[in-house]
Amino acid sequence: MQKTDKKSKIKVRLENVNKYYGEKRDIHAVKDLSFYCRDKEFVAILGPSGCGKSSTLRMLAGLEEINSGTIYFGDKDVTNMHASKRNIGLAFENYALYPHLSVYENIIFPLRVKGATDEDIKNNKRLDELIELFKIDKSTLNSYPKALSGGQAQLTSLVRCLIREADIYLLDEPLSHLDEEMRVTMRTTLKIMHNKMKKTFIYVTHDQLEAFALADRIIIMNFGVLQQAGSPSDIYAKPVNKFVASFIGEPPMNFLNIHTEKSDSNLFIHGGNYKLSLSDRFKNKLEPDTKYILGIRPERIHVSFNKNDFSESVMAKVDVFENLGEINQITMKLGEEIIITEIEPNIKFNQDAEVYIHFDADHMHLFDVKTLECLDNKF
Amino acid sequence: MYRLEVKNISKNFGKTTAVRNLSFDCKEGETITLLGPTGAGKTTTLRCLAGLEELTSGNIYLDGKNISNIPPNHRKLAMFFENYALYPHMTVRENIAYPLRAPGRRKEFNEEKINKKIEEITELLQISELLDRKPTELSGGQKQRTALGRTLVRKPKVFLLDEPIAHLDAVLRHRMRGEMKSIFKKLKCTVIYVTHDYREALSIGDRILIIKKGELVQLGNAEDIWSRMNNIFVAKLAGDPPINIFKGILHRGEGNFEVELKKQKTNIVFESKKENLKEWEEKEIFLGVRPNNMTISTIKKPNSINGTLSAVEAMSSSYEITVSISEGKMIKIKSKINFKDLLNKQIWVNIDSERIHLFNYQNGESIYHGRIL
Repeated sequence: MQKTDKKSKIKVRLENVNKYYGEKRDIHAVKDLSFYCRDKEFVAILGPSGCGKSSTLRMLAGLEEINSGTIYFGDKDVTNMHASKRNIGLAFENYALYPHLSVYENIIFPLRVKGATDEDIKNNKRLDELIELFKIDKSTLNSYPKALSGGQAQLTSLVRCLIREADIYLLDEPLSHLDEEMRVTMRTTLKIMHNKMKKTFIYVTHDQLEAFALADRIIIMNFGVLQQAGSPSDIYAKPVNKFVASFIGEPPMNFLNIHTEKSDSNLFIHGGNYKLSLSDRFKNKLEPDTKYILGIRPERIHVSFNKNDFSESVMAKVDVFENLGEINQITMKLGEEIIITEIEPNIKFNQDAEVYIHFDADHMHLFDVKTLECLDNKF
Repeated sequence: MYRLEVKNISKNFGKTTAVRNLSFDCKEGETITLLGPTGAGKTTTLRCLAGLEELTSGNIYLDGKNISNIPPNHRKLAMFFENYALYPHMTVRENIAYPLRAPGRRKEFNEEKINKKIEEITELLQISELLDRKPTELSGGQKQRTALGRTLVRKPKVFLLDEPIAHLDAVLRHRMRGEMKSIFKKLKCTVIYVTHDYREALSIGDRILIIKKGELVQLGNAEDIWSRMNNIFVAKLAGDPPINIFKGILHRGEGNFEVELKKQKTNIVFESKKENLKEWEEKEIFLGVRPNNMTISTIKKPNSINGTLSAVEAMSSSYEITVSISEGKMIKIKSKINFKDLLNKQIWVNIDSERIHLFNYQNGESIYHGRIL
């Protein structure tokens, strides 16, 4: 059993779910997966392609049989329940619109199934609101899906999903075919709809920005295995391993190869030609003369021309300076390592300038070189 | 003398004008990025420079020489397309060497020279260890570097790139953006670079040329584009989330100015020593405020707009906050603080009135910029 919490009751729970594909069941797509989702929560399942996130969503929907494990909706075991009985709203990346129905008929289909009359549909306020908010072009309502662009078809499919009065909404990359501007707009719209509808949403995506922006909690998967579950800020600040650390954040976390020295009370780390002292957290806890990977987020690195600005610093060389409008980004070389950091827009550095950089010791992460696990929590 | 001079070029396709009377110049070693929305004429401009499209009118000069009627293969411009085509049966080494082995270059390059060139270029691109691999054995970024290497090895006078990194995933695109900039500077390349991504344009370009419906809208450095934009179009093009625009009326106060926002029932007060604001007094104008120049509070402060906090979206190290103000209008704010606790509550959006922009209500042209940065 996973620990529950006073906040809100558990709406969806997976326990040790496994899924195999292939004739010989030799492809283990989802491995011993357990996670939960609270009532009214927005949960994103995030991972690279092939990580098992879509399979997981299809199992939740009942479209895919599971080989072992249990799925609960509330207290009810739904593992063997037919998809049509699960009371879920579904939207897929590839639309799955009915080709013989008009766009409008597609959208109201879930209402028709529930026996809504023309009068009911006319009075359905959410229908108008959804059509408006998700910018369904009213002139296309009477055309057939084949006349729609990929983006329009996707939004139609999303509206058809949300019009349904469901307990749980399952969405698989529902914005992936929109152009960038529209995708960002619709992301906000979806977030606002979730606030209004006060229902449970599970959302599959490979896009960390989307997961971050939308989700109350994120489930990160890789190779069919759950890597980490937590709020965006937790995952950002306390990644459990290098995969999670590198998958989340833009610009990404900096990783440096380091090793400890044989030393007395203070442990110094150096990789190449530089030295830094460690945060108290790590002191006397690391093995001497051992290799580690140091991870540090771009915003935790401070840069100056003046050595005296910092109690401790190392010298690096500016490789690239980028003005990005509201922020500037510098790529620096520190020995063989490359370090990226963001700075305020009023400071400028020239290429090849020599600068002093300071690592915020409290925000350093250390990873094991072999297992790639984050060691922060071990100390 | 400029390396490249473009003088009044136009390109029509039947009755459609794709490029209209476009002029700009590019110094040796300079990178100019062409930024605009889809269909603005960026790629057509690049193809005109390369000689792949015949000009309807105008002239192009390379080192002072008119090349308008010279066929593409004699222009000494190298074009690099997004969908790089590496020869699948050749190794990285052979792919990069290919342009040097062209029949016309046989006298110039013997095997020894070719190998030396390849060494230089692959070291710079950090693909020296991959020389004997075939394209199928390369990652997306490695393919991209190999394709870049194949273009760079020719030492073109001008390097033309069309969305070279647009199809890469976010992490790789991010890294390649910096790497390309660094390579251009190290090799002192003269570059014309097409993109629809404003960050890429600002980052890579020494100057950025903004193009709309085939016409030049602004040509300037990153600071010009970001803080001294010519009009609303440029203001909206650069920025994510885009600049917030309000309709207002400009009044002169005592020692300051006020923008009256009727719909929001509030006045934004700012100081300006600019005399030329006089002609805009008592007139309708647009007020522009970037999302990072606004903050949120629960109590009313000067220069603030009332609204309901309707969404909080987490970004890497900040938050994007959507606030519904009057008549269904939404504005976006970028904040370091997560205001999730205020969701669906009434709040005040405070505008940093030192950093506002004003635009002509009729044609969208800039009439005032607040403090730079």
